[in-house]
Amino acid sequence: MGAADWCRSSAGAALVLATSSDPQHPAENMADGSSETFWTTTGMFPQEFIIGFPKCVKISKVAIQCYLVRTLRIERSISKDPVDFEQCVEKDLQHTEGQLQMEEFPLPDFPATYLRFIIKSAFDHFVSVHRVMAEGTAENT
Amino acid sequence: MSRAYSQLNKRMLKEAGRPVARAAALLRPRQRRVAAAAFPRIGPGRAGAMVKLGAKCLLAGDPAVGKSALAQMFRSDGAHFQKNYTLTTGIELLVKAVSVPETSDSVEFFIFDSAGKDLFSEMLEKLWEQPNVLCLVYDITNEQSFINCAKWLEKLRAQAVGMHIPGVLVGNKTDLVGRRVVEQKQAQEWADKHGLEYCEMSVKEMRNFEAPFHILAKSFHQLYKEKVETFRSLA
Ligand SMILES: Nc1nc2c(ncn2[C@@H]2O[C@H](COP(=O)(O)OP(=O)(O)OP(=O)(O)O)[C@@H](O)[C@H]2O)c(=O)[nH]1
Ligand SMILES: [Mg+2]
Repeated sequence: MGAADWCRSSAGAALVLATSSDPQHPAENMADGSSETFWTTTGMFPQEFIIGFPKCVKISKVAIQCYLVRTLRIERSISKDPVDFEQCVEKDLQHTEGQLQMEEFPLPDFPATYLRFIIKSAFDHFVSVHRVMAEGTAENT
Repeated sequence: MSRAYSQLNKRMLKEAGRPVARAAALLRPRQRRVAAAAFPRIGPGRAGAMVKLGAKCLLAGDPAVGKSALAQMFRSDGAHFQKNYTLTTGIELLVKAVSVPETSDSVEFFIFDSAGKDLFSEMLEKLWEQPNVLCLVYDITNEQSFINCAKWLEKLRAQAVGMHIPGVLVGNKTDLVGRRVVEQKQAQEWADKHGLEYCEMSVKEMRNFEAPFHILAKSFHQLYKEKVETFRSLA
């Protein structure tokens, strides 16, 4: 049985915060399961978004499809509210001209109620994020 | 150095008003807590709303050419002209939004009004990181201020190697007609050669002082549109 993708709105995930908004490219586009739709940043860096799970999930892998992102940091919270984040991973991504950046972050199983993605710097004025994924299993409550 | 940073932070928080959290995030990357409530809430039902782009605008040029006069005039919508010269030290931050002609979108400028005397200061370079647009000012009655634009531009461009940064060259003090030493044609040619837009103004007489920012807003908005098309073509 494959681990579910918890970053889908259809799985109950919710974008609780995003620092940029273009109504034509809303943050929900990152959680709709499609790589064709995307969220764009509209301002200066850092930029970030926070995605919340319907319950505490044990995450084993996080993946992102984006473009022009340079330094990315991923944090998690296990609080009821999106506060008290701690860093999971930070990485400098490669620029992939004309192609989506597909990054996977295998992580030691850790529980999370929220994931926070911080785009600290970019290769251009704007970046896009097309999909985020988090594989894992629901914690027994 | 770190004091300059913290002063700028305070200034930024005060100036920015509504986008406080974003401004804080801009200059305090290490800040741990999220002021979640201060960010725009995600939610349905916002169709028809417009886009507000944010741009870090570096305002630079020789001392006394009128950079601060321009920034203050622009921010106050023409209500404030500073007659007496008060030299800027370090950087002054001003925040002001303009709408982009023929769209419902706007660009919010975070204007980094830089000290002209600091052409060779390392502190400026640190605060100039990750610029989005440039506004380079000279005084049409002061030839040296025009010549030095080359040095300013080199410094500014070094902040974003390999990236296209929209910029505008601005000749100020057109009210001093009899004292002009830099001809329009000469400046226009220099601007073209360096990929800059060009305009002249008199902040004192409130002539054309909004033009540089309208030009930059248009270029930056155009850049955004092009990027979004690129993003669309990726999937
Ligand atoms: N005649 C005339 N004087 C101007 C104009 N714009 C600014 N000034 C004057 O020029 C002087 C210098 O202006 P500032 O705006 O302080 O110059 P600055 O470029 O910010 O100088 P630094 O902060 O030292 O880099 C002031 O006395 C202004 O009143 C203009 O359009 N015409
Ligand atoms: Mg000044």
